[in-house]
Amino acid sequence: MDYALEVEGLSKTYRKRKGFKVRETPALENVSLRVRPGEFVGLLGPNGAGKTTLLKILCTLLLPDGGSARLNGFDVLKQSEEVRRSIGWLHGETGGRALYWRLTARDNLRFYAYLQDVPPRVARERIDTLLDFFGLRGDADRQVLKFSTGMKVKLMLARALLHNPPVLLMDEPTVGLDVRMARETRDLLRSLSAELQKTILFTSHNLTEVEKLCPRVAILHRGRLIADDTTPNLAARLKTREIVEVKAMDAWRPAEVHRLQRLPSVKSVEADGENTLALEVDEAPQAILELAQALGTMGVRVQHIAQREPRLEDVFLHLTGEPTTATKPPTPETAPRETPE
Amino acid sequence: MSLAESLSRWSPPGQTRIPFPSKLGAFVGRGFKIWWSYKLWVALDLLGTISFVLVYWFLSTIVSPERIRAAGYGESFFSFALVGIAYYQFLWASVQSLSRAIRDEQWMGTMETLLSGATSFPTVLLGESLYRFIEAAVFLVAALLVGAALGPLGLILTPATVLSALVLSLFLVTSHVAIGLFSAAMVLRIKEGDPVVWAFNWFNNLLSGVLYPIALLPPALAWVAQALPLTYALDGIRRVLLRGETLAGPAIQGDLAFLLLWTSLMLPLGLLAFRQSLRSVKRRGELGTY
Ligand SMILES: Nc1ncnc2c1ncn2[C@@H]1O[C@H](COP(=O)(O)OP(=O)(O)OP(=O)(O)O)[C@@H](O)[C@H]1O
Ligand SMILES: [Mg+2]
Repeated sequence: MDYALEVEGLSKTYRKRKGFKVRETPALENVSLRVRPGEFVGLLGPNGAGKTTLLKILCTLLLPDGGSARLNGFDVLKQSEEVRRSIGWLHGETGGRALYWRLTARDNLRFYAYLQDVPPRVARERIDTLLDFFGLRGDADRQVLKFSTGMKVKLMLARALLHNPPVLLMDEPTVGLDVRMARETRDLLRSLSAELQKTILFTSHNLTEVEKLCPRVAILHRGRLIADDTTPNLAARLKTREIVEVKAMDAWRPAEVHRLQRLPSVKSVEADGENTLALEVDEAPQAILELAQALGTMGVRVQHIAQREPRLEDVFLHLTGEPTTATKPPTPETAPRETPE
Repeated sequence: MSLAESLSRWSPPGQTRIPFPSKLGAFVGRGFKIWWSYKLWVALDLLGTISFVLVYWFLSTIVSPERIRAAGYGESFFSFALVGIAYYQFLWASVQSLSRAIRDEQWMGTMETLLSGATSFPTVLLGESLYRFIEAAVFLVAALLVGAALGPLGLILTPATVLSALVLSLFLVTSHVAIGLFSAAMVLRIKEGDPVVWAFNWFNNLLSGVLYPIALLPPALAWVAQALPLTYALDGIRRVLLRGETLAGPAIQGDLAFLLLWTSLMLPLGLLAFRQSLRSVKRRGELGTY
């Protein structure tokens, strides 16, 4: 088996009948992806890009329209039971709904152990180990309905590992975890990949997290795979361009952003955090001079202007051409704005 | 020791298999724990059983026993009606067990998790319905016991009649599994209780001789009743429990044959319908929605 995951020309369109009309939502278009055993791949994409759709097809919970997918050597359509045995799946977005809330943490894991063919004697030891790691030992015999969101996510992570699967499909596993637990989870995933050669497909909207964690990144956009490369290579794609970051005291107005876009040295403008714009430019020193002048005449109060290294986020924004969820577009014209004295 | 080190000593998946009965046992255990966690349900279920027996006990003090005797089911309306109602409740709970279980998983949001394990879908189906089936059987026995406590039921309980009653009960359920599967297939798709099955349920209740012998029905309706499996099951079970007939008797064998025929015709259709529905839901990506 050369690949732990082999996706070939996968397509999926959701069809819903509304009266006489059928509404079609394309979610995946001809996606191909090959992942070797032990690889750790970050799957990125804006909301609605098709990440969850892809992962659900790989878990056999969703049937594709076309194309094929093999997981751990098993075909997702023809050998679905073997596929499910080979994967640990987690959907962080559900916020812990995917558990039996009336049961205790331990009973949830026990029941799932039965579903995954882990005998009770073996399961008992594993459950203790997992509960210990996720800091849930003390809450093992409490009903899940009394858990916080993060505790539920931890329990779902424990459940995904219970049968020791070779492939992990982690759909936003760090959503809802506090800073420390998110970090411990990242460390865990890293060591599972490095030491145990687990194959991991990981989605997250936290690009810093993905940049630190995943040696390889694939980007989905409107159902298409628009990039698939090592993380340094992807960041280097922008190396020919330079990034200048401008942080203003107040929110940007669209008119101001437009004027910056029209400056000769500016290639593109993206929102990048609170009151901050990231500008792609040819040569930073010259661009900064030009910018300072333009900003002065516009009367924008600048807090900070500097060159910085291109980050994965810049590549992501550049390729998908729209801001991520983390960054809001500039405030509309209607927003009140003080004029500088 | 780190978690990764622990995992490195764990066997990979697929090296062990849990025997089929233990898996079913896990579903039953889970069902009981969830039921037990709703203390109010436990109380209401017990109260419900006692109160419906009381209602028919009062009814029996009003209805004359002559017509029951004329129909050939012993002496007492109360015994006649109690067997009918208790079995009807038992059947209804069994028929609904699968669709209710699916509705619950949808509500709880656990449908996708349940089907993301390595357990095959027929096992999940059986496991899902088994807990409620057992629950229904326990309430059936409880209802008969409460009835017996209110006065002599005149049930004839010998090893042969108990065995015969068990066999008839089993085939009563299998003959209705298809209906349950149709209902579950609908619920899986439309995410609501299924009106067709509720309608069938009322129809069944009125025509199959649950409360009165079908001999009392107008001829046209009596003719329809002859096509319903519940009619045959109740006829058989009453003959066994109220008159002491057994599987050796030709009347009981006739009832059983009809139930078997109905089962073998309908069960494959029910399974097919459910499989189609599951495929459709997986295609539309609505497995986990409610
Ligand atoms: N069950 C469904 N029925 C119809 N359309 C759906 C369904 N599930 C997803 N979609 C649509 O398919 C597209 C891809 O959705 P998907 O959930 O795969 O995106 P995603 O990349 O996981 O997004 P997010 O980052 O928000 O989780 C979206 O346009 C979405 O509206
Ligand atoms: Mg998603």
